[in-house]
Amino acid sequence: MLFLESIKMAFRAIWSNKIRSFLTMLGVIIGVSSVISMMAMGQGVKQGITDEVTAIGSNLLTVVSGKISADGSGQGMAGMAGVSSVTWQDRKAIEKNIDGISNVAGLMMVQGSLDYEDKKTMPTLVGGEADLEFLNLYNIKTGRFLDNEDVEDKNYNIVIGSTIAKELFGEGSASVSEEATADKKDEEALGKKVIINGEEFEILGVMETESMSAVGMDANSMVVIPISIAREMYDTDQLTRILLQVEDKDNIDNVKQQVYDLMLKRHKDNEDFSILTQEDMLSMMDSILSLITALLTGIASISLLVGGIGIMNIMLVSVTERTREIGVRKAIGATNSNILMQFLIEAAIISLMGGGIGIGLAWVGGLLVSRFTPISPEITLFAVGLAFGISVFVGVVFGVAPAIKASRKDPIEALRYE
Amino acid sequence: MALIELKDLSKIYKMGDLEVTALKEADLDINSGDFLAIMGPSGSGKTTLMNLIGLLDRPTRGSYKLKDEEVAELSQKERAKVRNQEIGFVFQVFNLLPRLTALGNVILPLTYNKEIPTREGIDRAKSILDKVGLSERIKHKPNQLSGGERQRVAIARALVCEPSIILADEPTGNLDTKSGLEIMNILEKLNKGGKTIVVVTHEEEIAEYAKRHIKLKDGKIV
Repeated sequence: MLFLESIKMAFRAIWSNKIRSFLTMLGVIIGVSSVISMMAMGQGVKQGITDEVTAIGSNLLTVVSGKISADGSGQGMAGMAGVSSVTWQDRKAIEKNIDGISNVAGLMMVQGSLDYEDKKTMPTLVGGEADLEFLNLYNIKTGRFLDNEDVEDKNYNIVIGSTIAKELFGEGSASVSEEATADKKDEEALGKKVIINGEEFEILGVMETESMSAVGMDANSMVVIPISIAREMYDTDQLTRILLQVEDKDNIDNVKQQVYDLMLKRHKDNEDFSILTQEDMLSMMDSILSLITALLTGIASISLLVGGIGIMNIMLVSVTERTREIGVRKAIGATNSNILMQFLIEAAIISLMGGGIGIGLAWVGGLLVSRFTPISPEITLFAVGLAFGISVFVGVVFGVAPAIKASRKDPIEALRYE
Repeated sequence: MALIELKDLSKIYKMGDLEVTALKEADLDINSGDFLAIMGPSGSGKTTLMNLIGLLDRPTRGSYKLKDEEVAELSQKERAKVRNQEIGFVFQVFNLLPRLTALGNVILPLTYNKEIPTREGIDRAKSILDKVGLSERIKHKPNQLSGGERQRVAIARALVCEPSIILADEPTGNLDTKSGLEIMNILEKLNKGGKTIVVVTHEEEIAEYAKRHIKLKDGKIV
């Protein structure tokens, strides 16, 4: 009865100061919605990667430069930039010596510049080969991928990512986002000549929009050129990755060992490379993403702290304003703890309402993000529960000081208060 | 047996090094059914005595027996319970909560009373409001009521937990003469029905309603 009555009283107090209560809630609303959004975003990206990796299949092995332990620690992704110890010769040796491999492809990532008419962009250039297509990493939307002939004959052909396609051919139309228009733009791109590092290339195909790439970069802003041309252009045999597909999934450990032995022999017992399964890649990505998510969530929770301070501030004002009410309540039989509970419940309800609205806001924000970007944020039940927990916690923690102040008021003084 | 027995009751306020004796060794018995007027000029200790009787304040020394039980040393929580169940306050400035309706204000003490079920309490509040002539105005907020009506709501609030004593501190101080007399008539009627009433006032006219008078001067009963 008293508890219910306190809740009713709290709503009455909040309602009678609508604007003030809302402004107080705003701090919590912003705090909770940003915390939830960050968690949802992290979860969405993680899910996207997991899906992609699962789609590629678990029979893929990736050879990269540098010693990387499976949990993502160690000297990390050194192989991504700078000098790579994995070479074209390694790739050839693997193809020649290892049995049980259905596809193998070397991959070289470099920065380059691309010109089309008066437009200029700086895409990630990927020196690739025909087998990449069978590795399920990229899916062609329009046109075709590079084939063996393109690579062997050094044909100046390229395949471009969807972002690049949009950048070069998508402009001038307000309704780019509409599927039909986008398709038409892609069709237009086929056969167009672009200049990369001073050489003329012809666009063979446009890739599907990928939410996230399992290879660890944005596939949408990539341009794939034949690796033979890339090797000449940049005068290097260094590869960013060697990708191989094992024929029989159950044989993957055996193949991995064979590749390891071969690589170790070729690198003269210097283990300056790593062979990762998709599971390794996944757990690496996972730990990096978790770290980033935790960091962003941490930053977002600062706003929650500010929201809590806002509640405390307004509750202190409210206690002072209602000094006489406190006096009356005590005179008619309220104990100190009755008064304490009343103000505590009020603070918790303000915070909880803020939390509820914040979750709603994060949900709407999530819908917008998934509508306009390739990321689809996922608000988990855990995140919602956490947000509610945090809001109550914030309300109670920051409501305690004002509530104690209220409960300790001397009834005689309080009744005399003007 | 007296309803209230005060013996050697003193209240001393400390203001830095200075000690101010607000009430000095007061002896006072109030019997059930009494209608007592406490009179005296301002600063004579009327309000201090009232606050002590109403358990809003603790005496510095002395004994206070309510229904033969010593209440001077009760804890904060126990005193709140006694205030809720045994004492009804009527203030000079009404002290109604502005957000609540007349009925809401009257049932407010029931919030803190575990012994009376809500349903019963509400019925009781309505019948008391009817008795003080406000049955038409139970849904009105205090700012929609006249001063006299507000004080009648306050009296109803004081009565709702069926206390043994009503303490009224200058109940007519903020009212015009006519409303003031109405309020005193209500208190008189309650007294005739058996309620014990203590009124603090400095107006002779108001004090005349009481059956017994005490005068305070410089913290002493004279």
